[in-house]
Amino acid sequence: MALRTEELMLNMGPQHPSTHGVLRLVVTLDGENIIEVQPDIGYLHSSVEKMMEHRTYFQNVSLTDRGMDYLIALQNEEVYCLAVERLAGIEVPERARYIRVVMNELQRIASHLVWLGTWGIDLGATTVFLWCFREREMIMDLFEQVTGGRLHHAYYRIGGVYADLPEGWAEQCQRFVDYFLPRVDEYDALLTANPIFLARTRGVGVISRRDAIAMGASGPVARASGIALDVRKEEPYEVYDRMQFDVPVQSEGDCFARYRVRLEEMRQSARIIRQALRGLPPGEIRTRVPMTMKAPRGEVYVRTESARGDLGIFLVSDGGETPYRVKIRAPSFSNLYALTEMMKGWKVADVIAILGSIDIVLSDVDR
Amino acid sequence: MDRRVSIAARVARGLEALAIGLGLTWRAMLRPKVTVQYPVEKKNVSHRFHGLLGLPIDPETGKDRCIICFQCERVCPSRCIHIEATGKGKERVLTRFDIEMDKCQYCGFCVEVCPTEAIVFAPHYEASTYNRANLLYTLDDLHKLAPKEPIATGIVRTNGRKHR
Amino acid sequence: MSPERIAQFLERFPRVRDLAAEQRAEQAREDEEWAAKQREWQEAVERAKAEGKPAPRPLKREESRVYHYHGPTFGVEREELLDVCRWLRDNPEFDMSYLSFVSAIDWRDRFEVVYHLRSPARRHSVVLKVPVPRDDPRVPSVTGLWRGAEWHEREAYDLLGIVFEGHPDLRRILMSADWKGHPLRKDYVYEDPQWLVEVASQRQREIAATGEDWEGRGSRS
Ligand code: SF4
Ligand code: SF4
Repeated sequence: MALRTEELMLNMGPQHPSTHGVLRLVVTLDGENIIEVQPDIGYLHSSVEKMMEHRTYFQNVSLTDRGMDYLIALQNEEVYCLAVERLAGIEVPERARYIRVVMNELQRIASHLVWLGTWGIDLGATTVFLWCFREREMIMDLFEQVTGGRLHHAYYRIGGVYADLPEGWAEQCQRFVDYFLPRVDEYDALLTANPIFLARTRGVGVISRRDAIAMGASGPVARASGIALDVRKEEPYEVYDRMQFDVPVQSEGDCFARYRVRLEEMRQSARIIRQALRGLPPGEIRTRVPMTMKAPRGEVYVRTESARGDLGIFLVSDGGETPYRVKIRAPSFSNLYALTEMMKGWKVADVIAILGSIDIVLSDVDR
Repeated sequence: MDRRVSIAARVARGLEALAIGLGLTWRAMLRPKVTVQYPVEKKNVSHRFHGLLGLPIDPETGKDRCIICFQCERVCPSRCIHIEATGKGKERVLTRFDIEMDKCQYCGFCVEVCPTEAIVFAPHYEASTYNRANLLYTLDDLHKLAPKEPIATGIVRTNGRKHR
Repeated sequence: MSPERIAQFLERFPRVRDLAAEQRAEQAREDEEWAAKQREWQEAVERAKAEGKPAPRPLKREESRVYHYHGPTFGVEREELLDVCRWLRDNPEFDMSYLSFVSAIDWRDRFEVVYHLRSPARRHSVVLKVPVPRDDPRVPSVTGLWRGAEWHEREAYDLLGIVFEGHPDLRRILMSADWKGHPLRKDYVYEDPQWLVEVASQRQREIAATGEDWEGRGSRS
């Protein structure tokens, strides 16, 4: 006797602990197999693009912190400030550019640590979560001493940074990097050989190189599929062209490859921090820009490599005190779209592993 | 037959991974603890910490240093500072200096633009209350809140000057 | 992109406007005008000196009205858009296999749909701008060329009301499905979304009117 089966629609979210935010996944299931996944987004939409049209160029810096991806606040500020600086032709002093590189990379490590910890907890590895947050706390302390904020910094300014590094901070940061690198090896030892972890990630959620490009994936997701793309190498901004680092690439395109890429990225970031701290030149930290600056008429598209991928801002100015139109190209948005392809054919238990592996932040998706 | 071999191999691998993991965990147990029991213990905040805002009293004059220039009100991205003043010239006095702390995003722009460093960050961050109305900080609150020793001064215009 | 490639592109599509070149020409014209004005002023100064009169006031250059493009930017007609995109994607010289984003700008009298294309292999990128009239904001969808365009086009539809013809599933993505208006338009006026409550209660009434309770819904008949 043949069993009669039918498709089942399952709602995961919008408030599900594994979705890392308010995301709703409408999963179509055939038994335990996933036929289709439709992410439903917009629960965190704050229309930051519209808000930016109503605030001056100067005020917008603090808006990018929380309106975009809150885990990489400094990298959001970076892309915004770069866009305005390129539009208005403002030079940034050398020292500020080095400081920005150090801060960006610290932010990248902090973001990857949150990802590794929460993903570990998704897969049942509680220890990694606690360890990652222990190290992240140290980065937050480092941030607090420089910027005054732990999550939302408002530290970069158009034309430089707000304040110089405090005395002794560079050495402290250096010590942190020395402490941090062996810790990455520990996460590696804890997870990479773990058979349960391997069974849940290796070969799971594969996206091919072609699909990844066509669907607009970027960052670690694309690099895990064999696309050796990194804006820091491709179109170096700030002083990344003077830094020596490798772009980790894996070809499998599965969850495990994405994990390997991010782990290696943390090591590379630490390497960049070391170089930048060593090369830190003395001098000015900020070009004075009038508080009510006006950008000349025009438009510019600036891309940077954030912890999630290709973060860009398309800035249009009509010559006024506020931007005329801001378009944020959010990496999580495109990576989440690629999820629809990754999920096909996997079991419902893999949803959590795959979703965690692409590392989305919902405030970046919805903006 | 080879099924049994593979099971044995898998068990061996599992045990090895377990040994590595547990070994690490044991070693980590011997390291000093980093957990802070928050409400009982507290961490010191740094000099630049963006805490609550305050208007410190200048010990020399017994008044705050605000010269009523409205710069902070204008620059605030959340538009949460409200200033009113009466009088002319030297006699100008503040009649109202309210900060809606529930709207404030602790960006520090007001601290940055203030020409006299009249408005500063205080090292307090525990502002939660049961009533939103309590988060409207008036001039008195701001005076009381201000630290004796202002923390976030002197870092803005650092070029050339010493900073802390 | 190298000038040769741009020339090749323009040769293939003669109707495409090279906006960056137009900007340079306009800038040159403005510079020219400014130089002429300065010469005139110089002459006036010398004349005044010769006649012993006070010198005329120095000139102040007014703000430039030129619209600056940073990078290769092209204006494309919407009829031609699909051909241009397909050519750019499939021509190995250009190889634009990556679509960064699709969005639009509201210029009050018209919309401009913006496409940012990139070639990961050749490391160049290009911005295409498609002007569309405000009362008829339609453009062909590029989802057939880049799958990733799907959500970006839905977003542009949601926030600016651009209709992408041929899109497989054009509905709102960020705002709720019942939202009125397109928030990123310049003439959008925010009103308290009280009507959303009415929509919700209306829907509840509809469900109640069917006479089904929760047990009855989704039963396996
Ligand atoms: S910290 Fe920022 S948001 Fe708060 S009152 Fe000052 S300017 Fe306004
Ligand atoms: S900027 Fe400073 S001096 Fe001016 S009104 Fe504000 S607090 Fe007073």
